[in-house]
Amino acid sequence: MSLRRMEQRRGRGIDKPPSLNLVSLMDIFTILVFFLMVNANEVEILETSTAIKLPDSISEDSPEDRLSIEVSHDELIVQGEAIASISEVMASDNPRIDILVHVLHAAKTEPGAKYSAGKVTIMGDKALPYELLKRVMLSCQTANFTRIALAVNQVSEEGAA
Amino acid sequence: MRRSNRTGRRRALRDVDIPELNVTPFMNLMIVLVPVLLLSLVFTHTTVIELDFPSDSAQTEVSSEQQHLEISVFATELVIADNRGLVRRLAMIDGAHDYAGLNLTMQAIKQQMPNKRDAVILLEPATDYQALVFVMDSVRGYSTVQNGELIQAELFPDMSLGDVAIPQIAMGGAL
Repeated sequence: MSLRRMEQRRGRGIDKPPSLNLVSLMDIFTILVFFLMVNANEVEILETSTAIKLPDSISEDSPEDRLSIEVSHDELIVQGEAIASISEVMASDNPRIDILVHVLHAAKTEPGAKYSAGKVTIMGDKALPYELLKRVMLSCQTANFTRIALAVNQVSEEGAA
Repeated sequence: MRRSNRTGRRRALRDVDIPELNVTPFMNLMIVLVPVLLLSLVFTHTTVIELDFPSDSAQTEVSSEQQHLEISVFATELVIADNRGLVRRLAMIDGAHDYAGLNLTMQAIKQQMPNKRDAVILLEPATDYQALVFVMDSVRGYSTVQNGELIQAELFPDMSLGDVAIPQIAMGGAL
């Protein structure tokens, strides 16, 4: 009799394939998807290249879409286009970067200019000397871009101190 | 006979077992959604520090009677001065500038001059950008607990930058 039952059980297994229990997996996925969707709401406006490591700061001001100047260790990049090499800039005695002034002026005065409000975002590597930063800022000021936002990497209070 | 009847009923019960949900399409959706959202996840959050410089046409003159606050960043120390002279020197702590001390000094100065909003940060040409940003953070504001919540209180948010080497009078409107 017990043998017959075992046969029956075995038989049961054959006529109906065992199904995977996916409930727990679905739970995880559902929670993960909601979590990620909430996080994905924060859209990144500034896109920095990997060559630039922004300095850490506790600032909480969110960036806006502005004309961007990227200053890496070897290149000066305006709106994604490299316009000068850093070694050239540093070698000159001119406190302003003429080509940058020129490019900025063109960006401001071209017909239908998107960035005519004189606002600019500077993304500089954290190890850059102030000397270079000053030249970039002075050039911005000369081209009448007087509202400057310095892009920084937000860290928590404890991390910064 | 009776037993076989019972087994038959059992079999019938088993046949009307709870129908299984077909979760395969849902799983497919999840498997696509999870990597997409994971890839778009932002791990580093970029923020900005705002600086307003006077335009060329409107050069600001620093009048002598106006309270003037300067923070000089040297390679080895931070020096805080106003128009009466030196306020405080902050030596380095463990090879780094004393930003916490700077922040505390700024809070004390803010209490003496609650209406003052501007400060001048003077730097050496070789000072790195990170040090400048840390000094700016310390001068801009401080965090305090109000009603059980951590908030950022304002100190001197209108900062200007200048060179430390040039004489005192010339550096007011340096940038």
